[in-house]
Amino acid sequence: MVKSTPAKNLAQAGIMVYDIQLYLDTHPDDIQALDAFAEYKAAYDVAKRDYENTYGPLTASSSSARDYFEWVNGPWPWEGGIV
Amino acid sequence: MWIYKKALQYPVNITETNPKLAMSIISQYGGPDGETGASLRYLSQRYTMPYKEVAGCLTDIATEELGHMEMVAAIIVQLTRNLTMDQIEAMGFAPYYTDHTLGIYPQAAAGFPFTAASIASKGDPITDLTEDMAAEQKARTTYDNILRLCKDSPDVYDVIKFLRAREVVHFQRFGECLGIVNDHLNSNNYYEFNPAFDNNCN
Repeated sequence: MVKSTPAKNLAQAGIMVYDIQLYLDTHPDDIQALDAFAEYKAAYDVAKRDYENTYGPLTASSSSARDYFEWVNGPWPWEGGIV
Repeated sequence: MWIYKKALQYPVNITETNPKLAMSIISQYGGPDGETGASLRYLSQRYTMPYKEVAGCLTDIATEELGHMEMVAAIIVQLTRNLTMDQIEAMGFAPYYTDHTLGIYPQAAAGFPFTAASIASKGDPITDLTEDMAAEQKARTTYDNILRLCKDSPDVYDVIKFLRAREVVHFQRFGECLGIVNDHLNSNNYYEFNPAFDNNCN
């Protein structure tokens, strides 16, 4: 992951949060990991905002336009071309 | 319940057309050690897992595997789009095309459809977690085999490398889960009771 893009930032922050989540499942009292989880979750929220500004809602519930259901607007993730 | 996030866990952007490679990679969608089986295995096992951390781990890894199913499907979709009839015939894709056109179907590289016979849910935490550790290694081996087949396709190679690395992480977590289970059991005889079935062992 060389160049920073909305999709790469989202994937990068997302995998950090998820990897720490799995670690916390088996180490639920690891304070350092809990701190890291909070830190990367904040980074994920920033990346999520940038991503949604570029590509539209990540979840149906964040589809907020009143004239069209943005959720069904493309592209879908498997189509590629989302950078 | 689950809520869908409209993004891949790791981006897939493939411009190459290569149905032959897609027919190998499809094994990780519906083959014996693929992501569909992985997800279904962990989702099914968690209901009889008596320890909350381990049930959490099974849930979260199963959820990630659903995301990997989607990534593997994305690779296949992108490797097979814009195919001409000439390419379908010349690149060994005719048998799949006959049954599925360009649809994504859960099958193994050898062509047989997804079968739950390739997974286990035994209702014994030691047995299930040992199965899960083996499953992660089998998936890792399959990704290693695929990596040897896609050396000339850097966009595919990069994604497969990511998926392979996740198998290694999951193996590690399941090893820790087995440790948690063992800590709850009689140290003189781990196998004296099944903690998911015998009431007198906890």
